[in-house]
Amino acid sequence: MSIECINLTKRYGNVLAVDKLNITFDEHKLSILIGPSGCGKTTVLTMLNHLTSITDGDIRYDGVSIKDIDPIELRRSIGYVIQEIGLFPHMTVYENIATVPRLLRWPEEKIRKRVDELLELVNLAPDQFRNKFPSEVSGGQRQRIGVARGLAADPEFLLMDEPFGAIDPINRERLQDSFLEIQRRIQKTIVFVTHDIREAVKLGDKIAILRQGRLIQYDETLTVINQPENEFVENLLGSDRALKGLELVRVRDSFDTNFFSLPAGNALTAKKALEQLRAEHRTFGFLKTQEGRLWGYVLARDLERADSEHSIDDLAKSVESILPYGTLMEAITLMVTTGLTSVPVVDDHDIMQGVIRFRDVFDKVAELAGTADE
Amino acid sequence: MFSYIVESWSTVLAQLLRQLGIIGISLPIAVALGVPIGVLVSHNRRLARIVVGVAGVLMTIPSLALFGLMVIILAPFHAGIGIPPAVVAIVIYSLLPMIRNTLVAVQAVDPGMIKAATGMGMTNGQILFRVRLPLSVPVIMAGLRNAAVLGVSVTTIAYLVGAKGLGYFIFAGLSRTRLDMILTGAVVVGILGIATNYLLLLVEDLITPKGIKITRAQ
Amino acid sequence: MITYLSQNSSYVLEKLGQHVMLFLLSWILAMAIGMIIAIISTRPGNEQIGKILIAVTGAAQAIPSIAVIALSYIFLGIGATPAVFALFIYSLVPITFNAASGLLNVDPAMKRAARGMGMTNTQILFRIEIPVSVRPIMAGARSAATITIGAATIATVIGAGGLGDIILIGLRLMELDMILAGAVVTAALAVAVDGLLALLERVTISPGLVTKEI
Repeated sequence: MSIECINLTKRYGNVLAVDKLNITFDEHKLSILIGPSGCGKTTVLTMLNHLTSITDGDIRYDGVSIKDIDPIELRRSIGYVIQEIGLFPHMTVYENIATVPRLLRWPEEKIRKRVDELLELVNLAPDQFRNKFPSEVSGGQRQRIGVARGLAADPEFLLMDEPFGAIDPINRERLQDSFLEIQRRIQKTIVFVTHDIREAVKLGDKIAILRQGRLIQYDETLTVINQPENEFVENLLGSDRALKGLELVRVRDSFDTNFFSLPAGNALTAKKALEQLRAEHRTFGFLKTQEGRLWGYVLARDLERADSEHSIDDLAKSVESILPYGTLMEAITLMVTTGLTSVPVVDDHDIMQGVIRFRDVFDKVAELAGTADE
Repeated sequence: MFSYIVESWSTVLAQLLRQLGIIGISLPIAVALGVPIGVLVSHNRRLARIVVGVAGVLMTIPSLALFGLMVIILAPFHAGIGIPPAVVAIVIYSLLPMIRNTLVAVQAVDPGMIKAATGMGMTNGQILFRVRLPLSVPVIMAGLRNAAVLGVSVTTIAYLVGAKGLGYFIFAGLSRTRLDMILTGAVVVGILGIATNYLLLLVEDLITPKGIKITRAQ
Repeated sequence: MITYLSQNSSYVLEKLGQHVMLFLLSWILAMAIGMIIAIISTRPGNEQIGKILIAVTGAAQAIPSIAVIALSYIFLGIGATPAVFALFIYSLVPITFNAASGLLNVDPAMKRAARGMGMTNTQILFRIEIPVSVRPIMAGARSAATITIGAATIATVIGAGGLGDIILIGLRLMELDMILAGAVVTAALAVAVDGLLALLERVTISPGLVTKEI
């Protein structure tokens, strides 16, 4: 379902909370609404399910104006998760999740299956949690139940208003990770309000930045990080936005498929290997089997000290590798821990695809920070 | 009808003062009885429940009946009519709010505070008087307020056993079918009840330690 | 006292019956009207009315029953009807106070979530607000029941009938047995009704709302 805001405006007396907002939310993507308090992000969200009336402009769902849709029915077809969650204390977890399906008069058998499905999805064992009451579960678990409740009737899309805001930082990270997993599986269209830029960068496919009711920038996350519209956005992203970007750029965008390697499988002696390394002015080399599998690495220093006829296989040390899907941040972390200036990139079967070099990462940082001159 | 109250304002005042006097005698007795009982039973949960239960049942005895019993029981002591039965009745009715509120107050003191106090070297007695009771004062005050409002009601009815007070206007008015008297009595008694509650609420507010008020507001 | 009861059982039962009628008529009416008033005054948009109502009923709880009964007599005379009216007004106060307070204190986040999920206002009222407020509502009901049964005895002075008659006559005649009989039966009635209502509360309240008592 396409969601379009056209010149969306909300006025409270003299105050313009939302000012002629024009935005279209992509299907199956998680779009973030972020901005300082008072920017109108929650107002926009609550206009989407008509909890807040629209002063001017329109919202169109698949072309149909929101004014032509019955608000009650609209809300029953949209998932809504708020910061306080608002679980009903007098209902069991099951009954809480079943709320909207029951409003829609689903057959109880269908509801039962759906609740179990959802509990599994949010990593809560159905047998354990189905009949518990909100007062009997922890804060983090309540948040998950809230998400499950929002997804219960398989809504067209999900509205989330700082759903993880009230959780302590450690559990929040975990919840966000779980949530990313869930989104990867269900691919819902989500409009997500937050004031935390880290959360926005971590979760969002697209980010919409609002200020005093106006849309400042709306783009793919990486684009927003790369090309902030103005100083306001830069400040919002923070001075470490380049580092934030590293968490988003995948190795596959930056690694080199051309790389130096030494053959494993007792094919080379220390002496011969050392010759090859010296020829390339290298201090170490990765070992690769005939099939192309990563075998480890050898340091030139170790080769010098070893018996010249020794096979390099015995001298090889094991090495951490990274998948193309990994982030540059993970690559850097590996480099720091291993002490090597490059990390081998492998696929699911450990077949070497290439290497990612410290230099490549650094170039990327400079590119993101806009200081790629030196 | 309203001229009556204006004409007899001195009588109204006199009876009002008598009423307040009776209440004034009863409340300290109620506190002196109820608070220690509450403190004594606060250590034993089952005993506390029994005591509260008994006090609760005592409250359901209609005041007319209680007066009647008092009249008969106290007659040998020549205390069967007038002020004594009224005071005894008020004290008996006040037992529930006083004991229950004392219990709540004493038990509601934060265990952390007690641990700190013990760690500082306070004896149990000192903890009781320097930590528990001062923090409990507002809650006990609420019980007292409850008792006072009860006292207004009970004293009014006590007129029927000879206690002087505002009950005069209502019951004498009933027997003489003087609507103006009855109206006066009902209105003054009603206002007295509301005023007593409100004034004691102010006192409660005044004596609540500022720190607790701030905590409550949060 | 036992002798009195056994010798005058039909008389006592008749009085008991009258007393129960006085109580039930006024209390049930007060429950119905009190709940309606409480609900209306706590609807979105009416919060100011609700707060005023709570303040007024809060203060009014301090008015002795005799005052209400006397006022009722002035306008309606003697008999059971003015008594029922007085008792109705008298129990209306705590019922409305507790119900309105309870409803007003329902967590707004819960109501917001419910609205956002697509519940109509009626559904929110009956599926969320009322079930969550069972405790305060029942507290008001029980308190009202106990004090109404007590106040009904006082209503004897305006000719209402009921157990108060036994006590009053016993008082006049200085008959300990009668006074005791009246007292015990009234107290027993109050305790029984309170017990029944407590049972009702335990049965209707959701286990999720019961905080584990230490």
